[in-house]
Order: sequence, then structure tokens, then C-alpha cells
Amino acid sequence: MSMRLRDLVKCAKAAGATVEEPTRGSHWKVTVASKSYTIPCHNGIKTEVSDIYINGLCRCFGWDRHRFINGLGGSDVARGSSTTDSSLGVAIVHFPGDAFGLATLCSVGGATAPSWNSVSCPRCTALRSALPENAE
Amino acid sequence: MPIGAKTMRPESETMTRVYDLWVVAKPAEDVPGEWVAHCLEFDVVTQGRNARHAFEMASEAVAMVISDDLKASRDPSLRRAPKSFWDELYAMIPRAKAIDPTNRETVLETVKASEVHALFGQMQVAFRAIPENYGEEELNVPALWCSGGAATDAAAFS
Repeated sequence: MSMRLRDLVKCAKAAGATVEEPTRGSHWKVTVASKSYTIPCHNGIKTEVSDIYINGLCRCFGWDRHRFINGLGGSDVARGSSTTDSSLGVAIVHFPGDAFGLATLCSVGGATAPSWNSVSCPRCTALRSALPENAE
Repeated sequence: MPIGAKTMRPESETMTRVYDLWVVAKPAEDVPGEWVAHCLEFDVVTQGRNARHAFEMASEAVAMVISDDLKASRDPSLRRAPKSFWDELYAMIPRAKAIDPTNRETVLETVKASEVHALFGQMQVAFRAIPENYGEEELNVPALWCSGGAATDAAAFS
């Protein structure tokens, strides 16, 4: 699904990227750790970028596409590792310690995704308490 | 400057870097009227208002990422696109039809999304080395092919 440039920029910033407007030409620049990628902006801030482009951007920085387009940041690499629990049918992101990425649980489950480590979602709270590490 | 109108050879290998790059341009399925261009060597995706514009945008985007990589002492060839994209290109090549160089400009500007599956070509991007900086990119498309769609049989492509 395509995305407007202004929304893409918001998502890139949420993923920790630096976004620069063009000084010349028709591309914005996204930079993460000195590695850059370009965003086409030939129709200004209202430019609609294709799904194929978004895939390329996420591939360049190793971002998870689903997390990126939902404005949840791009990667879990810096904070933890991602695994899949087939018994729950959801992706669970393990963080150092005992915290879990609830946004992933919520978004997969269909509910409105809260911010990371939020406990406002009853479904996530229940799932987290059911996980072995938290079982008493 | 028309694409392909200029033959580029480095005046000096020490002063200029020339990259030969495969670029695949396709109509964007989810953005009507737009074409998406993908440079496989550097896995850079961009888009434009028509096929020609998409190639021009690819040239600009590639120039930006190469320039940034060289400034950061990073090897831009490490950006290479995944194998699946190369496999798709290799599958298109035997079935594609070369576009007559004399018609290239017309085809690039007038080809409709409904007429082709993809256009692809090997694009040259040259960098003239400016002290402590790489820039002044130039674009040349020595050859262009068309893959799939009704336009491959059209007179303009023969």
C-alpha cells in the first residue's frame, strides 16, 4: 500500500532515522548511522510513494516493514530479539530483562497498538502474564 | 540532456568513477501514473512520473547514495539487491525486446503503464572526483530493453 511522503517521513523519524530535505534535486535523504537512502519527492510533501519503494527503504536499513508503516520504529535489533511463539500465533519481541514488546502483540491481535511496554491493553497483559518467564 | 545522448568515458581513471548499473522500471501498481525504478547494484528504489523520469530519478538517487557511501568510506557495492530481484531480471532478459536507440527517447516518454511489464537497461553513472568530494554525476543509458506487454510488438519498439 502506498504512503504519502509526509507520513513516510514521520515513520522514518519514529524508526530513529535522520531525514533531510533536498538542497538540490528531487530526493529527501534518510540517514541511519551514516548510511543513507533517498526518498523521491518530485511532487513535494504530497508525493505518494509506492509499496515497492517502502520495501526497498526497509530492506536498506533492515527495518521490519510492518513495524515501520505503523510508526512503531523499524527494528528491534538495538533493544532485543524477535521470536515467534506458534502456540500463541503472535510475534513476541523479547527485550533484555523481562519486558515484552506489547505493541507487536497488540497489532498482530488486531487491537489498537499502544506504545512499547504499555500495559493498557488487557489482551497483552494477559498474554504477558501467561508467558513462562512471568509465570509464578 | 537526452538520456544516452552522450558517451561517457573517464578522462582519467584516477579522477572519475564510472558505474554500470542495471535499472528496472515498472509501472507502480499502487500509485497510478507513477513508475518505480530499481537500481539492482545498489538496491536503490525511486519513482517518477513516467519511465524516463523514473530513470532520471534513479540516476539522481544512485548518485546520492554512492556519494554518501564514498564520503563515509563505505563500499557502495555492499548495497546489492537480493538475489530474487536479479533472478527476475535474468528471467526477463531472454524474452525482452531491445528498443531501437533512435526511438528510445520517444518510448521512454510515451510508453503507457498498460503497454509493458517492465523496461530495463544498463545505466552508466559517472562521478567526477572533486577534491574531498564526489559529485557532478552524469547519466547515460547505452541500451534499453522492454519486457512483456503489447508494446513489445509495436512498431516503435522494432
